[in-house]
Amino acid sequence: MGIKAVAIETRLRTLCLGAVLGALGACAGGPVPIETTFPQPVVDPLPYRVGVFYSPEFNNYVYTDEEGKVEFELGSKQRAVYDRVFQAMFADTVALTSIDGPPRPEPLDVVLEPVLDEYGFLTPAETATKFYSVSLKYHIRLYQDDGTLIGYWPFVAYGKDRKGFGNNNVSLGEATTLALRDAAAAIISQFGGVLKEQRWKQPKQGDS
Amino acid sequence: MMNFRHPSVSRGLIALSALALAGCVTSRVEEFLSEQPVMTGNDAVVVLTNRQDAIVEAEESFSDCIYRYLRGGGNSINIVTEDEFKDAIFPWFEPRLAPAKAESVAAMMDNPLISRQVAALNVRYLVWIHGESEMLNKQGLMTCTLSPAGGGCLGVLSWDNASNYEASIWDVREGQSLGIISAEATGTSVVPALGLPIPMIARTKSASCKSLAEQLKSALSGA
Repeated sequence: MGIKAVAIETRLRTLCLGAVLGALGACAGGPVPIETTFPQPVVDPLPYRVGVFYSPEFNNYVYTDEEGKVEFELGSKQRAVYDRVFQAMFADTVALTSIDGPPRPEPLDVVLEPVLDEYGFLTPAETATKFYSVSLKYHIRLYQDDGTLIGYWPFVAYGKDRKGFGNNNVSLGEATTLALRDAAAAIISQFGGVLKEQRWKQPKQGDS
Repeated sequence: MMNFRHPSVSRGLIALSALALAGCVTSRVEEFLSEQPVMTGNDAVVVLTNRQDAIVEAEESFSDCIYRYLRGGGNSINIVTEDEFKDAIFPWFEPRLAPAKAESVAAMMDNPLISRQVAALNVRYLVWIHGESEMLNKQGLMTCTLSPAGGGCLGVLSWDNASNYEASIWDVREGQSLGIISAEATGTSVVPALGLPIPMIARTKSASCKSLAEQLKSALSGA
């Protein structure tokens, strides 16, 4: 066997080995572990009485990729973050089951409804880096006490985690946890000012 | 004296010896501190991974290694873990809000809620770790076969390992940077195979960790 033949055989074997490893990687799957508890934020509460409404879509959000290879529940985790943040940020929070319920004995300064617009992630191969990157695109709707929409505040949270040697879903889960923590950081550092200075965006036509 | 006559025991020993081989590593550590840290009483240090760079970020294993060195052995340093620190003042050290320079820490400490938490942990110094290890110039060919009669590999693989890290030391109480300690290590890993692959790995990350941690420990402990 000549040198060229050996090199070709080696490349073929390398390709075969790559295919096997690729298949193993694709099969890695498994759960995407996302943190379920978040630390108590260190923040001075604003003197507002705030109603908080979470839609069933928000509470029960499950991410499924187009190919159906990655699927995990995110709803309860994002709700845990928002509960933590709002309870720390405001002097009084009231959990609501609907936006426009019967008149309340004590009026609310504002009603908030977080909405997840998009969950997205990029793999290290897609970004040519060593990291899984996650983005969470949210907006928080603001309503008057009577349920009238007065505006919304959009923001995007990010998280990244280094690709590990084992199950890639662990890295994806960690990047998602970091993105949720970043969402908390964004709200705590910016949303207070948005409320105080009424810097929210006006609702578009057709919003309710 | 022990005699190993059983072939499988001998083969096992050969494999173990092979694993113990390591490629040559050259490492260098440099210290640029404008002022020496002064640890007193219960003063503690937090080692934080700089996560604000989109491309370069020190590996968790590297930070763990620094922790182990600082905590262990003689002149051990009182350490608060990164998670413990970040959770205690959540979310002010998340990547979005973490101060980019030491002077910003002073402004952050003006918030009594934050400074109280930091004081409760006795944190005096922040050590930001930045850098990474890379594999470069991969070369060579190796072919391996496996059959019912046995198996083996033939060929040689080689690559260069390079590790570059730096530790920036910030004084939380004074709100100032004391400077940086940097460590770099390079080496070439080779895996020749004539039947059995014999990995000779240049452990540059480990070498960088050791030299950086030793210098850091010496600076922090004043030893």
